[in-house]
Amino acid sequence: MPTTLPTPSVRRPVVPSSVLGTLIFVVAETMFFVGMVSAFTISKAGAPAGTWPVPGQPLLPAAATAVNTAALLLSGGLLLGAQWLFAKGRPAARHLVVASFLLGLLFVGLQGREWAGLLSEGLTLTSSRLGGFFYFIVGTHALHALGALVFLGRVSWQFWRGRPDAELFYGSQTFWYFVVLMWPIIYVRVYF
Amino acid sequence: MASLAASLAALAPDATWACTVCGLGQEQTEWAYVAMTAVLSLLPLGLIGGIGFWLYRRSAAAGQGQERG
Repeated sequence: MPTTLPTPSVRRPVVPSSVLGTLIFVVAETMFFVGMVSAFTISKAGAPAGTWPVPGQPLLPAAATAVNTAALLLSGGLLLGAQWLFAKGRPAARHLVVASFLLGLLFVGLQGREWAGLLSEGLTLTSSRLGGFFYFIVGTHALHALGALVFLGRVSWQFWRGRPDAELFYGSQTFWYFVVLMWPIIYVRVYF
Repeated sequence: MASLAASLAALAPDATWACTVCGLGQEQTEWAYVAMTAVLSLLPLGLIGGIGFWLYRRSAAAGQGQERG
């Protein structure tokens, strides 16, 4: 009769729970955004000749927004680099995480400035179909960016203090990638 | 008799549009409608399938690692 019990095998999750949970959320949110962009695309395509761009309404500042877009894409790239350094245990990862967070803040700040300009020129939520779609789609994205920045800010603080929580880092990173990757689609479809 | 014929002609079937957007009948609108319908139909399948496949690959790689280790 055996005197020792068999040792149970150690089961490790295939992916961190925070990543899987965030991915499920991201799938739902992706459909939400694609639904809005779809409605905008059909509405724009169906506009009678001469009514798009909307007469009397300001044009969306596509060129200026390219700077915001570059800042956001760079932020995503830096976070990818931070992940690579973090996996190798290099402390330099914290610089990239903090830089990514600051670039995210810059993106939201520049978006806010752009909104202030458009509002002063007369483009409001109710001034036209363009205004309604613009503020709804871009505003929802900005809300997601702000939400992701809350988590990314916490992660940055943890990295800066030298005590990063890997679970929180990977979950926040997944959410930030969603914000970063969704933006070019919105930018191309709405601004041009 | 003529008014009866006109009434019957009015009952003849015609295309019915589900909404004002697709009812405009412009080629560009129809194209946008079909394209967005395709995107909205296929994207969730792609997203869920992609995540499922990624999890399967990770799981298979983890299983191989355990067998070696």
